[in-house]
Amino acid sequence: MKKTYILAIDTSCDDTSVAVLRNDNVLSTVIASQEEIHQPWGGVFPRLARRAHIENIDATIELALKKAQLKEWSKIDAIAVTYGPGLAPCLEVGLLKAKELSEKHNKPLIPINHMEGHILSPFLRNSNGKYYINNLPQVHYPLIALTVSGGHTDLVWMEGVGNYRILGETLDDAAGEAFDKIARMMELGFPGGPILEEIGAKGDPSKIDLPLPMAKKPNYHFSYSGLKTACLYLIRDLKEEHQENFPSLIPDICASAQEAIVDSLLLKLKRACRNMPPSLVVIVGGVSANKRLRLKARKILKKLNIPVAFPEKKFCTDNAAMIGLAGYHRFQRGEFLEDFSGVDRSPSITIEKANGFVFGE
Amino acid sequence: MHIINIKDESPQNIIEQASLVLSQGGIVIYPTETCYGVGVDASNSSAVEKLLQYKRKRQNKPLSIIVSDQKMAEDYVFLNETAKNIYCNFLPGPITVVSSGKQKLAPLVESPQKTQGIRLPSYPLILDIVKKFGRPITATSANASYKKTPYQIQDILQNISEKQKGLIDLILDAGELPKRKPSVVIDTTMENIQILREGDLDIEKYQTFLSSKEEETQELAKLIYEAVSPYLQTKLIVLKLQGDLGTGKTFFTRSFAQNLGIRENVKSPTFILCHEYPIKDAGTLYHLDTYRMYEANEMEDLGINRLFQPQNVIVIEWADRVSQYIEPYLKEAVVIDMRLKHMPEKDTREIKYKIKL
Repeated sequence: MKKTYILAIDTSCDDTSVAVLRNDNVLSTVIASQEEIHQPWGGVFPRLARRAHIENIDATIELALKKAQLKEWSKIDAIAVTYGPGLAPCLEVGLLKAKELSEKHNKPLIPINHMEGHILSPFLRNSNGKYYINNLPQVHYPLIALTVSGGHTDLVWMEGVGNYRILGETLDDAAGEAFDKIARMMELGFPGGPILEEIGAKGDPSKIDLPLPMAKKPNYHFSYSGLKTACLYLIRDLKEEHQENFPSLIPDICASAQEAIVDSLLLKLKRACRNMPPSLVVIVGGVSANKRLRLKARKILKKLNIPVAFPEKKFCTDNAAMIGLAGYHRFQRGEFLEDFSGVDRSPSITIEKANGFVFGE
Repeated sequence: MHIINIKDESPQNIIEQASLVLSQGGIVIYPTETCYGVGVDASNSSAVEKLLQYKRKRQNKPLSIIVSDQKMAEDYVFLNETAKNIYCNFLPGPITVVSSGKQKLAPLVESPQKTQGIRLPSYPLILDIVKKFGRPITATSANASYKKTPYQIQDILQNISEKQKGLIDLILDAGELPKRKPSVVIDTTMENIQILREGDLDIEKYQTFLSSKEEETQELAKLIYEAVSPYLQTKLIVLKLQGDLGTGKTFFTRSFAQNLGIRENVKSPTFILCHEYPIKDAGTLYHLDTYRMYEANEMEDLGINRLFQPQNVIVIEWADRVSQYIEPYLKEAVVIDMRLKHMPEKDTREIKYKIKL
């Protein structure tokens, strides 16, 4: 059967990412990271990000095509692009470029929901046709996806590609955002997740008590504002009590905060798995790179006898390869657009908007 | 029963006629910024009895009254600091403020607990009638008990008997009123609204609220909503929120959104920068976080012209960052300035606010 070649673009946040896939095999993936641009600011600054996307996008596309050893555009079957959710000014850069290329090279366009990309990210294969992760469990539906990043914390029931139902979501801040904000309180830098993980590895989570968010709520929702406030008061009190010795407590605080976030995620995941056992669990998004989360999730799900899959590390954070994979599935189903004038960026769409093939808010 | 179409008559004339009917113990149906109300002289026992006959099945529910100003209110009730704060900041407006009564009104007007609900509607014609009349009138809605809230005169007349119709002396018909909910009732004799520092009536006129639990922040959101809701259909409403991490900016916004009838869960806009929620019967609520804006003119990326329009509500977290840039768009807007701060006591936030209508 003829192979499908997809060029995929993702500019939903701070990284300009382009990938080329042959079916579900990643031929190339190029990420122009903006980390250095945003790090000093303690967050992604959209205007700077947009500017960097504009500067990087052509070169990134060129490099991705080159690395995939595709010399001519004629081989590409379609262009997949993230149209939401994400930062509006950033999404726009990728979407405009994708439209421009679609028109120029007369290729159909596949607008992709970024969250669908994340959910599929464990199932990417390398150019030799092998899954990136060893011992990937067989893909069976229904599955439960925990999508957890700087912008999202959702528990999703998935019956297949294009069939999603949100079981629970954060009521306020995303888990990744909680990491960022707690790091900000101690002036530890950005992004908070990896920093708390690294410093927390030297600390003891049992030394400091923090509340376990939403533990008593019998639903699948998450909430981090209470934990945020608890950390704020804790840090304030410890600073006053220990004065110049406060920094010695930071590892324990980091360990505790991480533990509280991880446990709150797993608590709801576990509840969902008990009440409606899925065939598989996937934990995806930037925070899924967290080792503590992986370790504890594996333990819990082993007990429940449910297989779990995480993406390869480099596909945890935003990347175009996962967008390409979603694009491949959509293309297989004939879900692509020849006329894409009506497609616009949709900064705050949910995964449920990826049910069917409808665009817009 | 006499009906005056208020568009056809001079205000002077309407005020004269209404005042005359009231002084004779008659019943007047009048428009307000919420729904149609029914008024009688609240100090006249037989007029109040006639009103209760009209309303039917009211049992012992007390009757709120309309006054023309705070001074008149103070003749009939004791205003504590909380109440004064509300009068000062939110009235006239669609709020019924409950205070301890002075028992100067007709029996059955005050509650059995001797409290009295007072309205100072933001409907100048009614204030003028009460002023001219010189005494409070009752402020209950003009429907018979347990019938539809009346936004037009037919709503009333279609749902009452001929006998009830016969009790009405005068109707002031202002056509169909915008469908706003009946006024919110705030009991200032209870402890649930705490306004601690009174000394804050400074030049800038910031008011200070101390909130030590979520319900109190919700109460404040409700108060501010009630103060600005009459402008929802005609003006842009902008809430500028300034405060550190964890001071409850998003929580306040969520509470405010609930008052706007938004059922979706309002989440932190930190990551996405701008969340949108449609408001029923008005425009859109835009919830912005401008913490990560590098240049104030980045507001343009979000489509500033689309945002800053009448009928929209814009809540901006970390508003100071874009303050100067948005200033020109706020001339015609209702602007609420809020500053949230952590207090030394755990879980206590100080919320300073001022409202520019």
